[in-house]
Amino acid sequence: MSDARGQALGFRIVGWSAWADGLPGRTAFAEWLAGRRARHPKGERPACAAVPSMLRRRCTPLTRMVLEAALEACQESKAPPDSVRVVFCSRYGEVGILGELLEYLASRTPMSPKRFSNSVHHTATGYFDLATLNRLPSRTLSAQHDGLPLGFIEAIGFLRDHPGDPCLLVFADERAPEPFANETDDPEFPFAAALLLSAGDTTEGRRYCVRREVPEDDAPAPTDESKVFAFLRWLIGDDDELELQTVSGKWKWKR
Amino acid sequence: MGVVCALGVDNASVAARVFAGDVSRLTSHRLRCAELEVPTGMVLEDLGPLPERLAGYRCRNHTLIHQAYLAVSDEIQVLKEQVDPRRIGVVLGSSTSGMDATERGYYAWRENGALPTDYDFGRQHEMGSAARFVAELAGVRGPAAVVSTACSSSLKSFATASNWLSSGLCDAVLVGGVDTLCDLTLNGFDALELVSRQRSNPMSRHRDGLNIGEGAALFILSCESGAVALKGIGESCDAHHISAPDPDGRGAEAAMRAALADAGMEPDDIDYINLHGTGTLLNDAAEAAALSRVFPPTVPCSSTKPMTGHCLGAAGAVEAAFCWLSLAEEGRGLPPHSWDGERDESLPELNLAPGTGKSGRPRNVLTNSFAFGGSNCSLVMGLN
Repeated sequence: MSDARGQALGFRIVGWSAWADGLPGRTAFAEWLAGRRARHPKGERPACAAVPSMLRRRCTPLTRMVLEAALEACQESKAPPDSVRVVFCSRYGEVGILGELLEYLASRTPMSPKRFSNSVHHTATGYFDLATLNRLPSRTLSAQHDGLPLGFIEAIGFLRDHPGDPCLLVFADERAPEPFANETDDPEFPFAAALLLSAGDTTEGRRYCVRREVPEDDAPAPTDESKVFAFLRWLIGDDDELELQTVSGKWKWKR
Repeated sequence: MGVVCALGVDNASVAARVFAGDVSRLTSHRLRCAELEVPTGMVLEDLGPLPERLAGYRCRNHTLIHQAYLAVSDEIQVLKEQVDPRRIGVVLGSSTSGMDATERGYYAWRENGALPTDYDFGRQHEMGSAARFVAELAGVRGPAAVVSTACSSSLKSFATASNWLSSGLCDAVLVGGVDTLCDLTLNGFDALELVSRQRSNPMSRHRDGLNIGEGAALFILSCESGAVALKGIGESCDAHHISAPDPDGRGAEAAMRAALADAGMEPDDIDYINLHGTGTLLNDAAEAAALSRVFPPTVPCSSTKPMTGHCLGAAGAVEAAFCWLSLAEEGRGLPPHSWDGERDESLPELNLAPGTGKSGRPRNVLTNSFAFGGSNCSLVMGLN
């Protein structure tokens, strides 16, 4: 039988950013995470000033949030956005336009080709590449609450194999539309968060590591709270270690 | 390895038909949003029910992957005695997830004002559900994830699975893909004017589009030596257009070169290429251009999509399964290329594997999957 404690995998976080309606940008988001600010949605969408307007116009709300958070994270980290690998973790992908697409089908109306093209799960990565002319490989995962830890595993894999290329780790989700809105509580509100990771041998950014402990049979059932928000809360705080329980085991981050 | 597609629901039937170039298994399907019937690669056989304890997961995606699982279930049970099941992971590629159940649920809601009582958004619709389903089916407790990058999903899932092994996260990974023929993809691709009214005709000057298919395949990936090895994976992005490939095929070329480099191989080492070969004007042109820059013109290649349709998120894994079948046994040869034989003179000439005459058993093969958003993946597998 192998060791229940997995090997600790190291990385650096050089910078991060996040966006939600009512929490426009890293500072506002951090204040909300720390409990110092309430979120008051205004029906706004991110400016995405760095994205050419013709491209920006074609973006879905989820994609706009991803671009805003991702480009700000790159800028803050001084990482050229065309030279980063991207890992995108989203439980539901472009679920916001699901209702519209189903309505086309239900009413037997020919579908909008643009809307269909924008509905694939990894749409946001496609627009990121178009906005930045980034041709490096990216990965897109969906794994319920394991999306958070498995996103790190994916990013760390990229860093291991390509230590010269920083990796943008992006989490984003939006609320399911009617009639599915009551089927899930996650996410609490639509958001995107992006972290810029680099390999351990650069001098920028603080060092972290993550490891997994296999699930025990008597482990408590994992909570349904957002693991992404739990991680960001820990990131901006002072605790040495973070432990999150998911269905695949206990995940531990350490500074 | 277990594979399910229009050619059949067990490996022996699929193998017999794919190496015979059987194009008789596509069936006509009426579109919902247009007065049109088009050929599709629907799985024709009735499939067995899911175990009762997993009834909440019921949707066609899970029915299809369950069928593929049956072919490897004995091997997985043996694996669980050799390896801690908490260190066996699951990575599947998919684009539709349980969309068939969601469509039916939505149509019912429109009619009656309520979703069906057996509809479960989390277990049926959510993109990650197929991996969780297989984990519970197989009784493994490692991490489970779905890779979702449209048509490159289930080839890229091998890259994620490999990473889980290299990282020491898992000792084995159940890897593959599944996608379901559903109204959304069929009508969506038709809205993009990419669907042919005939069987697809890849690389022909008369090619005019793809057929949508469905299918599933499941492999067991581990660091242990087996008859067939995953030797290399290459990925790239086009950054060209959200739904059309770079016409010069530069992204495709980059993915193929990266796969060869990862495998430590030269283009001459490849004995067969399974093309993405959807039969659309743009894909085939870009793919042929890219191939001609990387490989000698003599390398045998074929698209198997005229036999199965384009299985979208499952295409990578299903076509990897055909490659695996070709490698795993002597005497099968290569999947032939089915088309009208009318070469497109504007494309570089390819050595499209013929249907007559036995090709030798390959030692190393490469398979391509290229997707919306310019997501490209190539995979090399070969005999150990």
